[in-house]
Amino acid sequence: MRKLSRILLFGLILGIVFIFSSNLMAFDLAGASKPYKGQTLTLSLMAGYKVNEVIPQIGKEFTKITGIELKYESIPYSETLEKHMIALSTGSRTYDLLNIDNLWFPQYVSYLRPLDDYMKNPKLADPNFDVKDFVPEVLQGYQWEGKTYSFPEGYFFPVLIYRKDLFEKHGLTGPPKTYQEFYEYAKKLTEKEGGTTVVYGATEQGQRTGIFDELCTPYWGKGGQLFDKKLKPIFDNQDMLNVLTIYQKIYTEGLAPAGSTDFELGEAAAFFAQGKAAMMWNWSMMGADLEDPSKSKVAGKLGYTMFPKDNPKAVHYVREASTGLCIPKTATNKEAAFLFVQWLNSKGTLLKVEAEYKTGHPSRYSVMRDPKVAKLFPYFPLLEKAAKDNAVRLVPKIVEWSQVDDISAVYFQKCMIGKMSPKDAIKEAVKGVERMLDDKGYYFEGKEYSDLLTGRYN
Amino acid sequence: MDAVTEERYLPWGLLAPALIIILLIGVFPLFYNLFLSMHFWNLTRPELGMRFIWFKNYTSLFTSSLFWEAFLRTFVFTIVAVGLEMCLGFGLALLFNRDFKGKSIVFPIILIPMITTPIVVGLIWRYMFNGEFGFVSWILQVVGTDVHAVLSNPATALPAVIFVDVWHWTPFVFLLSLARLGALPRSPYEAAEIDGASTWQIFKWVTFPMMKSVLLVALLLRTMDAFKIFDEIFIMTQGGPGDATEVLSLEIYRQTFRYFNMGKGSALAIVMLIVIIIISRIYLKIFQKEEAVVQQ
Repeated sequence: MRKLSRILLFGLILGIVFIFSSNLMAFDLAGASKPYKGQTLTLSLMAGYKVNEVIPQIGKEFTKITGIELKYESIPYSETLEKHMIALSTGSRTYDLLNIDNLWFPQYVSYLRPLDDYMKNPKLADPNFDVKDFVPEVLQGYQWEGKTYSFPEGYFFPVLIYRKDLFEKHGLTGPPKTYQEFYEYAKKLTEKEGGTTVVYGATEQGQRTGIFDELCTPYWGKGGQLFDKKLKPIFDNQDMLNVLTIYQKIYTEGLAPAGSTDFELGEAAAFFAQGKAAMMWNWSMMGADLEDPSKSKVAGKLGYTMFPKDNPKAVHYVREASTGLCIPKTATNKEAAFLFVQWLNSKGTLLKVEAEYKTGHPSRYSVMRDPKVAKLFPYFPLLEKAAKDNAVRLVPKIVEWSQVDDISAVYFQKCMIGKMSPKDAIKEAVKGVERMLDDKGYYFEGKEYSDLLTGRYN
Repeated sequence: MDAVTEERYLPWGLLAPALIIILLIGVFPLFYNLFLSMHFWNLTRPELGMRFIWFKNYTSLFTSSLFWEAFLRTFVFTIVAVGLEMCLGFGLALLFNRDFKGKSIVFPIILIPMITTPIVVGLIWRYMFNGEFGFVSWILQVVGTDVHAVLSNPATALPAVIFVDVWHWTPFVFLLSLARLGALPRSPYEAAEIDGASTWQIFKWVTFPMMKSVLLVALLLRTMDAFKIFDEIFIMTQGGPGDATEVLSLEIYRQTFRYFNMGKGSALAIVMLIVIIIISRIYLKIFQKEEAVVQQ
């Protein structure tokens, strides 16, 4: 009896200590935000991302807790960089938070305020925030010279989305394993009725802002590199030639819709959602809408897998993308902005975003592993597998990446429609990229650059 | 202040506010643009600052094949589009200068494209030409042509944007011509009829000479505007496929707001301005010559 009461007493003390310590550890957002009550944060959000449609709704909760008001401005993706850069370079104090694609992050970094000081400030930092819960490479997208500038709200990469029902109909047992096989599958899956194509084997994203990304996936799958250590473009090789030749064949042989030259992620997904194509290279997050029967005729009929790779020895690298909110140096309400970023990217808020609003691109392990959320999205295991295999990579982290992309796209687009041979297109693209990087002074000293800058994957 | 001083300075005093505004919004940006065109300045590399590089931006432009291709394409676009607009606009004006049934209904319909903003025009035609869902593509499929996705084919993309510009701006030439036609004096026509001139002769020797001045104004305005075409092409093709519809203004946009090379973008803008000035000077010379002939 005595022993039992001792155990009970010990348990009680332990319980009190636990409750007390956890109370100490719990972050009081209302208390932390008191000095900033009444401030208004102006957010610039990129249109077209589901999470950005959710932020204005979920942000009301933040305002309720903190008394910090939120004002939003939505900008089309294609105009974001231009509008932000003009505001930043002219020292405008309009925005407290800018929504940035990690692809562009290096171009912004000189104008941004790192979050490290805030994260060390006990008055502002949430001790339970758990930075390690983010997929490390995704977080890396917003880090520069050892400093963190944002926490990503999303994590997505290109995958192969395919129609399981059509595969079955044509006797195909599983997804293609190589890019050549992808082409052969596209041929088999293309259905014609009276000379008109009713189902295309594949979609392609030939728009100037999409084509290079799409080509890079199979190229990396062959173990290809874009740059050498001195940042000289080296994709004028047999691997890229094979990829571009197949890409061109898919279009010119009518296995992809004629309008593909005007497709980017949204257009391709809309086409696919109507049941007009059998396979699609697209960003994983598109699966969220494709699985929604109110928006898609193919919901429940889809399979998701890593895009085929030709070299079995090459790691199945994926080009990761994400968006994050960053604080400009010129922001008026920096501390309040940090509190919002921290709150939005906390485990609890991100879990709520996925569970209630189904955005489909979790950046935290804890969210993608949550059983309630995981069952909503059949492609989540792919996200986790890529992260676990250490296969998530960023595009080369150079300020001029958008130009590299754009210069190459002009020639690859000409090649896609058959107006230039793959060989010439690659040659011209490499020449153009090298000239541009030379103009920017990258080759003056002949120095070698880090893997992060050159995007060397193997 | 004595009367002589007042007479000397009063006009300047009265003109000063207008002159200051013109200097601020017209002359200063022009010189600043010229200043920028001789500098390296990239907004994404603020740490490098602004560096004076003399004419390097210009030499870089003139040695780029993409620049010359865009330059030539802009000329082709301008000549074909403006040429068609002038012929169609003037032709329509001649048709509407006489009465016919339903004129009051057709007249406002013809003017609709002109009052539509270029961005909306671009969007309308982008969807009309869409290779999968577009009305034009559907018609082309029904007719049985090889090309359905007009904007996706380099051979048809430039003609398509020319067509849209013609659709958009023919009403402008039409309206200008119609206004002038309505105000032409009757006496030369009566004299020509008395002399027994045919319809063609009346058009050639009476109508056209009297219309020349207004047609030249329309030609000047349309040429300057077409040379600067941006909105429709940006919305419809973004310069693609490949660089099939990449014109000078799109290249300026790309250098300035995509690559943030402010110096190079400014150099391009200056080149474009010089070309437009040369064209307008040529037109004005012809216009003055015509005026002199009319006055004689």
